[in-house]
Amino acid sequence: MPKVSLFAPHRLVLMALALILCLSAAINMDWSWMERYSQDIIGGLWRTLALLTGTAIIGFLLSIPLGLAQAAGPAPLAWLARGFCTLIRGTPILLQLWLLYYGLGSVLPYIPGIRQSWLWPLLSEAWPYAMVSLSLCFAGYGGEVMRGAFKGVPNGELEAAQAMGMHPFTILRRIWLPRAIQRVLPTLNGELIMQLKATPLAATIAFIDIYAVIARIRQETYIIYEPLLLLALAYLIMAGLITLGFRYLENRTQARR
Amino acid sequence: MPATEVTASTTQTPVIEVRGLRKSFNGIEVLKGIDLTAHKGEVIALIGGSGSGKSTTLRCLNLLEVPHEVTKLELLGEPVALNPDRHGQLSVADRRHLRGLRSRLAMVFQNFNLWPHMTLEENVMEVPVQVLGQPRAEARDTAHRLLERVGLLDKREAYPDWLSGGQQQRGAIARALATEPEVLLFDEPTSALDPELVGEVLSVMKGLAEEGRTMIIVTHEMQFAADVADRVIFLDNGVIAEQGTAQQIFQSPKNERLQQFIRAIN
Repeated sequence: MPKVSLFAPHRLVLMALALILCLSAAINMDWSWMERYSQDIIGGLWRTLALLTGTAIIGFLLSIPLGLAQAAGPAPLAWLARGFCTLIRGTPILLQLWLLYYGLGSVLPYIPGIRQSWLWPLLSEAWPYAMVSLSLCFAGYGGEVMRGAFKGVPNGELEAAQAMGMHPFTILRRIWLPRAIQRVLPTLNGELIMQLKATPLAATIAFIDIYAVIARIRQETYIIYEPLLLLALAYLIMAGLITLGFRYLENRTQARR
Repeated sequence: MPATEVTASTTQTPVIEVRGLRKSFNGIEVLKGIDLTAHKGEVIALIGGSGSGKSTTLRCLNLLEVPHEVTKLELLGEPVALNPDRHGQLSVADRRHLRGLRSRLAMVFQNFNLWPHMTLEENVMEVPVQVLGQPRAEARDTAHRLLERVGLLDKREAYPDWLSGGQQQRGAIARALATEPEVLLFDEPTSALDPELVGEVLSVMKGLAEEGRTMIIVTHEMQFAADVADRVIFLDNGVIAEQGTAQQIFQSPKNERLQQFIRAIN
């Protein structure tokens, strides 16, 4: 891509427009509530980020065996993995979340002894359900991405390792997995942003993320637009940071070709 | 090369021995009973038309392809046991044993198959470190020595995709040498190269042959085969149609198909 100067005419016009928009929003709109709720907002942001990173990491770790099973596993495992991915990708995330929270969450207390176990404090909170549900969701989408990624690595590169006596796990760790991930970084970027935008669903099971905080501010103050604009800005910045991070990673691998 | 020199340069220790090697793909038999013995220090060229089974033969030698049927299979003096699975397909009985043997053979591929996410130096170090458990410093010294030998020391920090085909293949040869292999298998090492890059790879291979290394080379480079091979094996339609010294094969071929083949390439 040819580098366009920051001060190209169309960019200057756009920047001026953005500045006017921001200034008029800051001056003409009511932001007085922000100070009072700043602690809640920061807490909500933190919980959104924790939910996103937690579920993305767990989900991605699960997506590796899911992709591998589909790409190279024995038939029964491949079917299981494919079935899981189809189930997750074919149903709304909200449904998955509610099935887990209201369904499983209402069955669990009837297990004898569970209320006395160390698990109970965990199981009676909302966040473990959000974490598990969104992790499984990310794993479902990620598993499909990783299936293609594993299959896309040229067989010859794996054969070269086999021919020199490398153990299958070493091949996976040193060659197959790094090559697969390298190839799907742009797709993973997209998946992660989709995951970010799925996190507000956790607010429906009383998980207090940034979305839930903003919803409460609107109810309490009767101010509609300003909190929503702030919410949009928050998600935009998080998505932007994710993309920047991935661009950095992609540039590092692009340098190799 | 006179025939007397051939016998003098090879001792009689077999490093690879196969008898009655058969291989089918989807019910079509591509190898129909190959007998092949490679002795220590011998350079063997496998030639033949496309589809004659020469690459498949080579790939069966390190079990990248598992034979359909074989009466004897010994690598580096050790028999390799193959067990039939419940569908009657043969598979390697002891994977661990095979990995040990494979680390003492090395293979160079038509498409180089260097690992693109590693620098050239890392490519060469990978197997000594990960398979043989060499310390990194030692593996790096070896890698530098080998890269210097193939004329790529200044490219050691380069990633494979930055290099020409000839450079990549020379790098792949350095990678193959890193484990001090007892046998080198070459699967059409120059077939994917631009014509002007073939020479640099062949000259590296010629140097290896002159060192007395055991090499089995599938090739279309007949002049090269004539120059370096102690023995040339002509495969046709899944069988060894004729074998002998380069002189016998290229100057006085007896098999009719071989005569056609040699006329066609000249």
